[in-house]
Amino acid sequence: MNLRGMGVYALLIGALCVVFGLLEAVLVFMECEIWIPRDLFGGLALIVIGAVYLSGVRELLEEKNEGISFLLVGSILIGVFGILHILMIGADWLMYLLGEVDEFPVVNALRPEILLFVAALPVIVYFIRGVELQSSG
Amino acid sequence: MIIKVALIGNPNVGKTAIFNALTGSRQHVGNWPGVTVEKKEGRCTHRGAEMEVVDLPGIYSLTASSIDERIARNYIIKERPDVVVDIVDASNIERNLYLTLLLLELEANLIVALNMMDIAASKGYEFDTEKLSLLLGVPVIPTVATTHFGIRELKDAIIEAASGKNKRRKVTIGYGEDLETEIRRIEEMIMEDPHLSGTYPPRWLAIKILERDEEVIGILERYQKKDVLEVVGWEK
Amino acid sequence: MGEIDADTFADRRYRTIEEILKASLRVRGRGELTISDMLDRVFLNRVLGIPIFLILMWATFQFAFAVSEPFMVMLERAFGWLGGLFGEAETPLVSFWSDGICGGLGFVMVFIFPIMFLFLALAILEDSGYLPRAAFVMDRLMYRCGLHGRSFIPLLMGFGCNLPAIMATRTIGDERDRLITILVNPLISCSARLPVYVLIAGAFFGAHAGTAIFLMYVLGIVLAIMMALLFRRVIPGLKGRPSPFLMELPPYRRPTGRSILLHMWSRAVVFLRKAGTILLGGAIILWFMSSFPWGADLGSSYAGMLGHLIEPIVRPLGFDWMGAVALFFGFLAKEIVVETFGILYGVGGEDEIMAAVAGHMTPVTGLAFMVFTLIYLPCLATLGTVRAETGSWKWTGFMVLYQLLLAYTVAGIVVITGNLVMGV
Repeated sequence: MNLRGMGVYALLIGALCVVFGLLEAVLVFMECEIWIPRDLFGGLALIVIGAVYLSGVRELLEEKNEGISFLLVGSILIGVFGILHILMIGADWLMYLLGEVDEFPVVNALRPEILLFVAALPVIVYFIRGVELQSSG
Repeated sequence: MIIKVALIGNPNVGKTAIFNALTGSRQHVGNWPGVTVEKKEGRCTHRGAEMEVVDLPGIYSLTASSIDERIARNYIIKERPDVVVDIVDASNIERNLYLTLLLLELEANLIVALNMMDIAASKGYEFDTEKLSLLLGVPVIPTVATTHFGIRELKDAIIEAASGKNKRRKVTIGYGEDLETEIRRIEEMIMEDPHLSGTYPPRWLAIKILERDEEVIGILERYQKKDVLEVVGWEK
Repeated sequence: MGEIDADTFADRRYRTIEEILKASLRVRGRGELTISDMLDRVFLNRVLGIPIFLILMWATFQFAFAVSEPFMVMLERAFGWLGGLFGEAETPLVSFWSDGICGGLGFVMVFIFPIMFLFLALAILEDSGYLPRAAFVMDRLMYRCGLHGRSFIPLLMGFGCNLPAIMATRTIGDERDRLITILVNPLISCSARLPVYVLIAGAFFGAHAGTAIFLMYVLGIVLAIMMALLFRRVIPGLKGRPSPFLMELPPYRRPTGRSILLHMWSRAVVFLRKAGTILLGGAIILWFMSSFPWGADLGSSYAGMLGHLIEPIVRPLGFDWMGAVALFFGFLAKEIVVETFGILYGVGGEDEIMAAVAGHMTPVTGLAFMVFTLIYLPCLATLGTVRAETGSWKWTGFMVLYQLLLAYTVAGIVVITGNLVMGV
């Protein structure tokens, strides 16, 4: 992957994070039915992750190596949150199996964090390979 | 005979990992006398020799200003362990060697375990351990505690050091002519008191006095070495 | 003669080290950007560093709360079944088994899961090398606030247990900084307080319980920093000189599954040991006090008498006599607060106790109760450590006093503003 390509990628994912984050946070104060969860702190977290991605865009577009730092940490963070929410779905499902809750709405469970995690997966895989190369070579 | 081994090093250098690798499950935890700092001890047998390993607190220096540092330095002075293993983070060697130099000054029977060699290598560090060992005058053993790399060599080195077969030249860290004159002057005054110079390394005392170490000045006051204290301008 | 001092020697030593390394170390490819440099560049970033720390902490508590829920339910059912083995609690012996052991001790045992999951997450953060960076970032902030550095690592350790955290203050050279760090340390929420938060936040805040717990931890940190600043102003200088700021950042590492599980397991063992000793003792005392005189109703049992005696103190905050008893015994160990509810509400299962909690408190008093539990007193063992480490009964007493006052004040503020907002 070249640096410019990474820059565009970071710009895209970063912007999506910020948009979904704003939605999650702002919807708390509004009355409407939508699949996006209403979660103030979850939204703020996404905005922070978006900000990390976006901080690296300029350096990447200028083809400076340093910009990769932000893409790397952004990917780690979205990875943490994606896995967290997948685990939480698993917990919800277990609660449903145990009969503690009456329904298990799959649509509600598909949070934006998980979708963004999937979107960021190619970069995450790329970095994991990179780390293995660096530690073996 | 049981070999008394003390482990020392900066915080976060893998000291606990080395301790575990050396002693396995044969360890117990107590307290240092008088204080609530945890004291870990363990035993191991290697090539028929029995070792008793003490894990000293993780420290950066050997001044009298923190409890941990006082514990470590008093242990080395008073208990006189047969071997002191200084665990050094190879990936952060510059800061870590500071403690090593202080230990050399204390005239401990030192071995340097150059730990975290894997991380150092990933940073592009290439050590000439032979040369390092020569310059420090003590054995230098590269280790990676997490994978037990170098642990057997470390145990061998401990046994060899305990038998007093270290053939390396004894190294004294020089401080430059100006300081050395002062050190030598005070050292000679200390040598006049055979009990004092038998209990503490005279050169170490001299350096500590010049560094104005409160505890050492206290020692000199107890031994009534007023002449020495006057030289450094210490007035009660 | 006057110009020679410790710094001169340190200087020369570093020069010697430079010489030694020049001869024995070769660095390949210097100037290359390592992974570690890249991570530090973002995690230690002046703007992003603190927000990243906060969202990772939020994720930690979200994880500890939400993911442990089904496991808690399973263990709770097991204890419910065990408690019902001998039928209705008609004789003291059966009551002791079902209400005291299964209903009290068993109920608090259920919270082993959030505690284990919390430590699982903290172990990942620590083993990866991130936590020292977080401490570094927070220290920088505190330094700007006029606090001395190196205080934050002991504060962070307080998340696990305040006791080792207070011992860790030994790395602080300056006696005054050390004393201040000790004094504010119990304001950091330890894992023993987690069960109380899980219970009450679960009862009132539903899907946002994880966030409520996270906010308790943040409140603890904020209060600790504020009190530290205050003490720095008020407490006169103590003996000692500031130690040089040497913040060592360990290398990043990929955490290994084994060491993380080991960490989690060792915390579970600590909890189990506590359950077998002090929590068991607490359950026995509380069961006895709430069941005797035998046949009396709860309000006129010994526990009721004690509760009614101390209730007036906490009444203004909206807590009833059961809350008062819980807080009273919580001094032994904070988990006992939850154990007390389990025994006094005398109902089985977390759900029913949550319902009972919701019946005895409003969301506002619930929040005030969480805040009060956070601040009011360190546990007995912590107090003992403070006494040993400061070597002074005066400072230990001072700590108890200021924390009680602070707890009352902050919980009072919560009640007043809460009622205003809710329009009561």
